[in-house]
Amino acid sequence: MNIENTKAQMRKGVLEFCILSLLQHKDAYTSDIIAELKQAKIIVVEGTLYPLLTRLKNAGLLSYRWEESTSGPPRKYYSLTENGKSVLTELQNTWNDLVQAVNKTTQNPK
Amino acid sequence: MKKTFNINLAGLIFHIDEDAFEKLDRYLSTLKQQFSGTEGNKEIITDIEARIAELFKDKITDSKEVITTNDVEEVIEVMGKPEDYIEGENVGNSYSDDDSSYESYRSNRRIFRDGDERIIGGVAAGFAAYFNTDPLWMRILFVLLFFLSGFGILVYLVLWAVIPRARTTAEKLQMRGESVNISNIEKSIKEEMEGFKKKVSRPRHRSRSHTRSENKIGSFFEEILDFILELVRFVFRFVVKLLGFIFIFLGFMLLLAMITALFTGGAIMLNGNEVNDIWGFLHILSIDDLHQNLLIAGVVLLILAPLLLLIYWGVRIIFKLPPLNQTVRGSLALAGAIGFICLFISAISLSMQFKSYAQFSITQYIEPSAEVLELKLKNDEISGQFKDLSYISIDSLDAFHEVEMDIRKSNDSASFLEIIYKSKGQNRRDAITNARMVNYEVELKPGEIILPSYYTLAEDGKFRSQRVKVVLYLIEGESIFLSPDMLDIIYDIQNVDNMWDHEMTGHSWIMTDKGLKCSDCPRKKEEKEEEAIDSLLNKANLPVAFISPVASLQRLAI
Repeated sequence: MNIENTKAQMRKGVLEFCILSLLQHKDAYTSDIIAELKQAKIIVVEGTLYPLLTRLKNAGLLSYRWEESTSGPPRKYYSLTENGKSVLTELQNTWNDLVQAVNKTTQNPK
Repeated sequence: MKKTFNINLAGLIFHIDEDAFEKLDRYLSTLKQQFSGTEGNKEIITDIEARIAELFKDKITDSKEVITTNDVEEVIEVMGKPEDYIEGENVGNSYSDDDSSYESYRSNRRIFRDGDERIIGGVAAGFAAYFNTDPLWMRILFVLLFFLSGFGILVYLVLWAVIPRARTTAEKLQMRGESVNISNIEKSIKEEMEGFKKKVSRPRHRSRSHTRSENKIGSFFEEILDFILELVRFVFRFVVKLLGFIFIFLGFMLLLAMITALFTGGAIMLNGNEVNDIWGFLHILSIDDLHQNLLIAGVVLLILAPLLLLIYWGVRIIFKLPPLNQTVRGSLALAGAIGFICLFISAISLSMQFKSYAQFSITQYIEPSAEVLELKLKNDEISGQFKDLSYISIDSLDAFHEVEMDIRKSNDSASFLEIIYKSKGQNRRDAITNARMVNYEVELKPGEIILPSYYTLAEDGKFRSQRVKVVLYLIEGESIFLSPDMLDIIYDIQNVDNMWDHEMTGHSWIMTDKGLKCSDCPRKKEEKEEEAIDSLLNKANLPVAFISPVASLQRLAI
């Protein structure tokens, strides 16, 4: 049993949910998303995010447009698609159920 | 003092130290290797490069213009080690089979040619890596094969051509049977770089270097064989492209043919018989207009999808396009499926129209006459048009070349003609109705019977595989003459002379008590021979009495 692996798997599962949630109310640059996630300590390194964002975009949950930047290369400005919104709602429900279920199991051991 | 490079990251230019560059380059190569199998890998790398450029930008100030090793290390710290990327990447896989797929990948040792260790083509070195032995043993084996028989050279050349050379780091690792994970890739890239450095810095005057003399032989063979292989590859690519053109050409031609047929109704093959007018035929074949349209729609839809696919394949081969997207493929498949269903339904309902069989006949008596009765075909505008066709449509008249004629002995007191009208239909009654749709009349003139070689269908009649059979019943002693054109409709007429249909026409025939007999045919060769033997035997009969020993003995006894 690889404990590191299990931890990583747990994090990974909620990462997508977090990204979609971040984009729920406002669109954001990649660096904004990274900053928020890092602040929340959900990710440690940035690299994890790039393949994930590309995959979410390819799955049609996210879309992006290019925005010029004064300080560097043009940046991707991500937003949630309609499809992404419905997936988010679904994940939200699943998460709530899961939190309840996990709390129940871990707090009242019989 | 340090050397610096200029690099372009996401459109921005950075000055970077030599060793910092090496570190960054290694980092990015490792990432590229890692994502090489992932969808959208280029985009991921571009995004990462853009982010690195952003981070670099923050590290540049007016007083510090160059990216150093420290900066690169910090950026890598922020971005994460290559292993961390893979962690994010695996999310898509189901967790349960993660380990097993990893395991199978690990044990996946593949044969490659080892270009780094090669003497000629790297085949021996590749085998050595595969079997985990020293390349020397493999070389000795190959040399032995060379000397034992010339066959060894051929084997080597074939292996050279067939086995791909390990080019990427992942392939090199697979060749050695090491698992393709990030630390291995990184290690391997490091080794390669060091090897490269050594090669560059190796003093030139290392005289009579073992490897150098070997490589000379290698490069000589390599040049010739690479040329040949390149030629083979070129021819192969050419053939493939040609195939693409053929696909496109064929697809367009068939499409064109289909469209032409749709609007004009070309010739098709039906039951081995050519039909000159598809539309006309479809109209008399189909149950009603709805059924006809269903049939046409079915055929068109069923053919359309494969044709379009064929054309697209051709275009794809030539221009290396990606495969069709899901929607297009889905709709093509749907069109094909609908076409199939249409065709299936109409075929089933059509086959119901051919379920039962019925026939009726009419009889016409022939006035007895002293003359020989001549049987001949009606020669009119339509009969000349058939050639090899079995159905033609002229001036909205549907004519079928489905008439058969037979001659039998009449047990009646007079000769007569029986015309049998056969047809199929949903049931017996329907079949009879269909048979009545046939217009076929025989002209009886004194001394002449004139038969059309075809029948026509009444205006609102449907084709239900109707056939006409005419049987002439002759009384004994009556003679007929089969006109040569009768060959068109007579079928297997029984006769005493055992002659084939094509031998029977153009001759006169008389009905005898045994059957039809030819009255003016030249005798067949066999018959003549038989008769000759008969007559010989008859002659030989006479002297038998003299020769017979019994007879002589009898005579002596007397």
